[in-house]
Amino acid sequence: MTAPEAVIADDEKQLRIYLRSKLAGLWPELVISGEAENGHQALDLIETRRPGVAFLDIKMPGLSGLEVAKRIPGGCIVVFITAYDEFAIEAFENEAIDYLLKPVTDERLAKTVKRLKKQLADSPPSSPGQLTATLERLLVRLKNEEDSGYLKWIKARHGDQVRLVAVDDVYFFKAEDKYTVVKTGDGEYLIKISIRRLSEELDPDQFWRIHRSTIINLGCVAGVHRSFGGRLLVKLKNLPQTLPVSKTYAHLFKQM
Amino acid sequence: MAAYKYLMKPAKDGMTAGSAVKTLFYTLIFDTIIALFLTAMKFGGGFLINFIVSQSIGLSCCTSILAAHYFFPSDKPILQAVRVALALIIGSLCGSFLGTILSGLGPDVILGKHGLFQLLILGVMFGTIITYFFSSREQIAESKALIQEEKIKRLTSEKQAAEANLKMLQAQIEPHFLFNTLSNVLNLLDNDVARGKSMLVDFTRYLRTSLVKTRGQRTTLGHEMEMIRAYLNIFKVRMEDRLTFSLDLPDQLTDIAFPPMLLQPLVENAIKHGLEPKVEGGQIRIKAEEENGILRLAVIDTGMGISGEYHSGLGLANVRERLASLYDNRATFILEENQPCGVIATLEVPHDRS
Repeated sequence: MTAPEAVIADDEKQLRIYLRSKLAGLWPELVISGEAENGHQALDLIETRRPGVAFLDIKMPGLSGLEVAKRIPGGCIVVFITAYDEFAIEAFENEAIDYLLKPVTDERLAKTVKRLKKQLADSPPSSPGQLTATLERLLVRLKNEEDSGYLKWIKARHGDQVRLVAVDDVYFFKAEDKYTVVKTGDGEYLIKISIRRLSEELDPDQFWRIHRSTIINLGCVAGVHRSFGGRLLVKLKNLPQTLPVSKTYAHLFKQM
Repeated sequence: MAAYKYLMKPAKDGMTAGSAVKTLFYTLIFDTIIALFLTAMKFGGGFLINFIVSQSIGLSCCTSILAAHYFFPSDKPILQAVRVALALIIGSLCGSFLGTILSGLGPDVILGKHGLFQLLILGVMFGTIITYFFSSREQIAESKALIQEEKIKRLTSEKQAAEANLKMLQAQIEPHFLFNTLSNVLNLLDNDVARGKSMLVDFTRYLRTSLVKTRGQRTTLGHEMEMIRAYLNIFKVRMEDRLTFSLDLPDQLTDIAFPPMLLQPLVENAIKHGLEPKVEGGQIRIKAEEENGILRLAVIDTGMGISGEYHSGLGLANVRERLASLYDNRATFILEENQPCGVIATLEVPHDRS
């Protein structure tokens, strides 16, 4: 039987050294055939070396450990390493996927080594299909966690600079001539994105269109009142003026 | 959303049956006063007749305004004015006929010598009073809402301060940072004891200064920069060649007062969302300068920029909240694109010489 091979992927050098030395103590026969410091390197390394085991840090630049695991060919057992990933750990436990928590302890690593030895002896390793499905789910979930798909930043020209305005900081958007005014606590910016396009790209739970030419940030609303004429007016926090709600959008407020 | 619904309530109640009845009741009282006034002026034909006519015209005007308000809501001020005027004319006419019939004078009076003139006076009087009454009530409601808002603001400010403190604490012991750092220290203690110790010293300095200062309100800019240096030293060990950094603090600014943990979230963002996810890493530069009583602090990175995963996370919102509570509106915080890549975060606060 040939000596088992493994690769270690972690963006932090000290942690690669640490794992390598721990493994050398607990599993002397294991050959570390390569180390990678980012996701792309890890993928290349695994594809060329075809190791039996891959230790993958989850949080790596380029590709995450989860993305690497999803793309590697079958026949490689993956052990994830993470400092702290609530969701991932929960999923791994449900699917019996092996993982190590940083800092890696001897006891915990010994368990993993024992399991890996058994799996390699029993080969082929657990069906890659199941692993892929779990990873797919996890990746979707993590993606949803951090990226809702809605517009989060507005780039606005300001002199020579391009200002980055978080949409959370915007009080309201208002169409004026061929520009859109972006009102924030720091002032006003002009952008070329139309109200119509903004209303499609902003999170509808946070931003309401209240007029053909106006979109407001609900988080900035101080109150809504009706004028003598029956017109709905929105008062925003920290702003003196009120914004009228047109008839088309009045139902948004009446439902509440 | 619950608090929001509460704020919405006045709008919904703007035209309920309850407020309409209230308005009618007040109109009744005004009409009586007008009738008394007219009688005192020896106008019309005695109190009883004046009373009946006043009530008829007043209530009729009021009803038609309410009806117009209810059935023909409008956004445009001009349409609103037209609506009120029409309602007043119809209300006055109907009211006058009703009043003259009820009081036994007969509708002929209106068509008589002074009839039209009297009608006009009464109509304008009622109209003005009711209109004034409506709008002043709206103003009172508005100012009440403002007072309420102030009260809520005051009550919640304490809670917010506590929450902000908690968020800051959580930010400092961010689990990824904590466990990755400890893992590094563990390895260095096996392989490079001196570096391991110095990393532990930096980690201790970072934790101590940030934890102690969370409780106090002010520290010096020099201390804050030292804490950030310790924080970046830790990342230098972890990221090695992928990170270079420089801190530029002029000597005359080291002893000035500065709020704790205001600059750190910007540095943390630059690392976490700018440089750490970038394969080749990059540079972070922190610059402090003073000009015309304004202290400007810039955190400049060459990381992923916002096209990467630079999220408008808790950190930045927290910075804005704290700036608002510490400096009112006298502080600014802007983010800009760095060329050719990365982000420039700039804080400008009034220079506190105390």
